[in-house]
Amino acid sequence: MVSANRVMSSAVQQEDETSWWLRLLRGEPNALAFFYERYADWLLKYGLSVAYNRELVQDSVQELFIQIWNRRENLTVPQSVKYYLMVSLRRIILKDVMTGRLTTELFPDHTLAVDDQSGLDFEEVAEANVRKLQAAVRALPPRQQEVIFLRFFDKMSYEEITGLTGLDYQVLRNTIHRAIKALRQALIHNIDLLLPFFLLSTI
Amino acid sequence: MNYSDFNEEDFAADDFFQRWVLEQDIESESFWQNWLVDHPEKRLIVKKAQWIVQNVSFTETWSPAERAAMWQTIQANLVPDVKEEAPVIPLWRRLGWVAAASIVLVLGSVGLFYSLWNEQEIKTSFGEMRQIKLADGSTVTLNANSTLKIPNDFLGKPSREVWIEGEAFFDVTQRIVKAGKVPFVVHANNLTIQVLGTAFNVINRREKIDVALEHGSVKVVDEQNTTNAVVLKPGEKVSQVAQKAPLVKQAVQIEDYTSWKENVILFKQKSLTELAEMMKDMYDIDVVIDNPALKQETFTGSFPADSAEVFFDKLEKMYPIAIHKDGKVFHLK
Repeated sequence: MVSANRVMSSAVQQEDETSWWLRLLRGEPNALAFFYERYADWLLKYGLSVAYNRELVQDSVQELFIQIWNRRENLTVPQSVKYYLMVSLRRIILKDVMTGRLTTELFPDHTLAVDDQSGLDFEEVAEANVRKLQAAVRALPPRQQEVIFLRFFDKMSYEEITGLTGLDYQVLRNTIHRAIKALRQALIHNIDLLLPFFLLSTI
Repeated sequence: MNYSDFNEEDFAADDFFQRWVLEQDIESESFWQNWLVDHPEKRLIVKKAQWIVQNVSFTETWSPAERAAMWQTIQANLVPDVKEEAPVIPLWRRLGWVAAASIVLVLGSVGLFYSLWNEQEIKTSFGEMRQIKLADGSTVTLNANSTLKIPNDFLGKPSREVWIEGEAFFDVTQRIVKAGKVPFVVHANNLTIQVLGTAFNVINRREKIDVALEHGSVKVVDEQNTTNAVVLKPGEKVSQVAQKAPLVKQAVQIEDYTSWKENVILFKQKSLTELAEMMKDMYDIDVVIDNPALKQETFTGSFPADSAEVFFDKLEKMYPIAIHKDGKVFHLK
């Protein structure tokens, strides 16, 4: 049921986006605004997983939308606009990284500190763990951050991820495994604090 | 696949396990529910793995201001028409060499005309403030008694260049063309301020130049000695007190340099001599300090930019000073 609903809504979104995309190709500025509204935040999240540098991602997102508009005569209707935007953004970011613009901003240290979690309720313990997990994700090497984003946050299939990143299937699996190992390591002192609560819950 | 040997990271990294947690498809759902019934001892490990997979999140968003600023930059860079704009070629280049030579002969009389024809000059009078939107979407707020020069082919050159005398606040948008990002350069006498996308304040009065950066980053270079250069971070300013003097960088309260845009003149620890200069520069008001001992007294306060009278009122109330107006000149005692 859940997955049937998802398929439905994504089909509706798909149709809706195709007509907006056609309007964009015809040169309607509103259509560009539509995609900007819909995807600006998403592209920020994804972009930061490719290179954790807000300014760089901001520049790249701008460049992406400018390019789409200025080169619209040469564009076709993509199967998925979101996927197309992500592939294009990725290319722009990596081009900038190659030319040496990248400086990685470190995740603020305090989020990594182990704090005293005794006497907290489930919500608080869970929240502290989520924050640690986020910090741990940010501490991963860029490639690992990106695949974690694509698989766990965007819920892309392995097949789609290999298509987007150009990674070989086996390399992708290994990369995910290495990333998970690092995340698990970062949570080692904390995740067990969730156990009493897990015991009470049903799966 | 022998799942009974798996620890939580093996589960979390397993595609089929992820499909259950992330996609909840029917095949993996029934498999894992049944598997757990057969392996109750694995329940906590599975639960931990599930928690990790489910809780990876990316929470970044743009602030509304960032979002809007980005959209502005995007819009400023959109090519409005499908057709490529024909580059504007200056007349002398189109006419070629012979014409250029003949222009040189009459340059004396044509010089003025040429410069008017080739650039736009925007001037504010005393007490006037003006906001100018440039063709690239950048805004320049021009303070009183200041001049901004913009070449007519502003957008046609490899870098966007303007010239400032007086004081102005620049809010520069990024410009991207096929060849890449187009730099923005502000000339203040012999200093150049090179930027990509940023906001900063420039004061170029009485041979003294002050550049204060609000956000972004700029590089200030002395054209007469290019090793004399400084890169500014937000909240820093650089000043040069005279031509060829070293560039001196210091941390500042950026509001002290930008509040005039909001119609507030802030002054902190300014000597009366400096205040007198400011009144002259911005309002063409002559202030004479009759008591030499007062000259080095410093003052801190603010007044509305559109009323110099309020400034004198305040000054008189706050400090033991007698002010009297003699024609156009204010005397401080």
